[in-house]
Amino acid sequence: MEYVHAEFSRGEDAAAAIRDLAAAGISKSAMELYSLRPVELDPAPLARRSRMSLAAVLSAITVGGGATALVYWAQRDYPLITGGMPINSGWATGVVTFETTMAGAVMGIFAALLWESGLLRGRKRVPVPVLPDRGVVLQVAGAPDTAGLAESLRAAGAVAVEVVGAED
Amino acid sequence: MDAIPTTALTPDSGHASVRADLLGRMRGASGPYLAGVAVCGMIVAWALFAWGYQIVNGFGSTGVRRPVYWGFYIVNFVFWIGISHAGTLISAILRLTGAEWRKPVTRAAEAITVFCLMIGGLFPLIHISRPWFFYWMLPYPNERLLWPNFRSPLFWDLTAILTYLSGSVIYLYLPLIPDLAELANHSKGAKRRIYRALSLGWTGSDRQWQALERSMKLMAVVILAIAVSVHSVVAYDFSMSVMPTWHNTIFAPYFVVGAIFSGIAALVLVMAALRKMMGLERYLREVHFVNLSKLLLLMSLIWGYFTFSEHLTTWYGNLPSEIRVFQIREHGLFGMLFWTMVACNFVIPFVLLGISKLRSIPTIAVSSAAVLVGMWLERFLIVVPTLSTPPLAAAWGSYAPSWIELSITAGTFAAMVLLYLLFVKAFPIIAIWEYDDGVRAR
Repeated sequence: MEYVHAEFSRGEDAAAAIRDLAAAGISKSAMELYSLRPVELDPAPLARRSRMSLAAVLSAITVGGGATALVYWAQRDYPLITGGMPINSGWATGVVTFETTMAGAVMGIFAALLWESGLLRGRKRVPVPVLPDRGVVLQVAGAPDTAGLAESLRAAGAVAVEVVGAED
Repeated sequence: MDAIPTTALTPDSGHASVRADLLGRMRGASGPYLAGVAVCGMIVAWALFAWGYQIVNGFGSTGVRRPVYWGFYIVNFVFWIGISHAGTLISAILRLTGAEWRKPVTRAAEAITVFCLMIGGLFPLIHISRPWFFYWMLPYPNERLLWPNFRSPLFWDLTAILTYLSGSVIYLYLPLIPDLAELANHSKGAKRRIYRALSLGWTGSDRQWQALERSMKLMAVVILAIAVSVHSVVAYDFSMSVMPTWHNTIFAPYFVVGAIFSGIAALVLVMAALRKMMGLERYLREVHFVNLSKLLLLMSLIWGYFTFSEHLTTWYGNLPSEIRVFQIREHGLFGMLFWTMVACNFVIPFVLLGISKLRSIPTIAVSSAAVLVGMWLERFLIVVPTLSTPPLAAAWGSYAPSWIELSITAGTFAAMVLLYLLFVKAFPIIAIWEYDDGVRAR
């Protein structure tokens, strides 16, 4: 597979190029922006759906609920002398529930980050462009007409364009 | 907060310039740096020897005696856990509120959190005297059918600190990832491989930036809740007992306020030291210190209000057991320490930070140092006077630390400095990508 790398000095130019390419029928999933800093444009040209919040909530419920269940059953099966206070009480173990719920949220966020960012995932090796100190690089994967694409990217304001092959 | 001047950097500034400057400061080691590492290393080694001596000879070799079962170790535990709030306050709150001026400050703050938690978390281990039995605190199925006491505030402590430590490490690590990739690109040999592995294959793609920023925002929310809960739980260690002056409802917020107060003070001191020793005047400018000093002054006022409320209530209630602690704390044996605490935590910051003409980096640093002294004394005055005067007068006692506690206490301060010295040579102390982003955002 061939990749086209186009360097733009301004994020806005890259965003406009992405809109043009999408209008021409190139899927946004075939495009990627690279930069040394986050590209902060509103709306984001390659906005992706995220389930990080959901992952955090589900993980929090799982870990916090599991820990609470452990505490409940351990206290029920091996009761301590509580001086007349209830064996199980949310007041007595609410802190444990809260902290383990938060620990679950932390784990969920970190796991979702690794998944959504693609870090540590065994995907095929995509060539990574050399990043300029200023500006962004737009990568387009598997375009049928790379020469024509390169030309249109230059016309859209790219300061440099190159065609590279995959590393694998 | 004051706005950052738009001429933040020199005209040739840019990502390459900032990167080259910050990475350049990580290379090499000056004579004073090596001397600092050596001195701190020796103090830490001495502290480890003292701990070893205590383990071999038993807890009786310390100054902890009936009725004062908690001495310097618990004082230090509360103190260090309190300082750890620097990272969460400065980084998480300011990140959530979008305060641009935080950018050169956040990593220094987050590193303080992690190091303080590592150090503070050691004290319960030291205090239990037989640290190899630490695993008895953990809930695991065992042949003795024993479980930890889940309703004990000490177990709450364990869960809270472990959660806070793991969350803080991740919160420090997340914004480090892009810088680790930069470090890998500008390193060679083994260093390159280590940084590459730590950066988890970061390429700077938009997908990664979006996920990183989203995760940092979520983590900021979560870590704030954890931070408040952690020092509340530390306060519950005291307030869940029925000891005079401990068993009150104000302790949790009082501890949280004190923690944030001491955390800001520690951050200011670290920033002042970094600025001077690493020549970071270009990044850590007076406006950062002034903004933090305003927060410090605010926390000083809140601390003063809480302290006044707590003492007024005790005095007015005039319960025999409480008024006894009140009196020895303010007029007797501990009176000098009490009024020193008030001077350090309230009078000095109020004068030096409240009068704008006196506000400068040196006076802000002096105020911060005073606050750290004052907050350590506050922890001491919470722990020792109450324990030394139990309800039965025949059981009253006193506490004086032995050379072991003094050595270990000195060792933890040296360990903090040592960890920081090593950290600034291994990682950029200012987030390169965030700082540059801040320049561009203007």
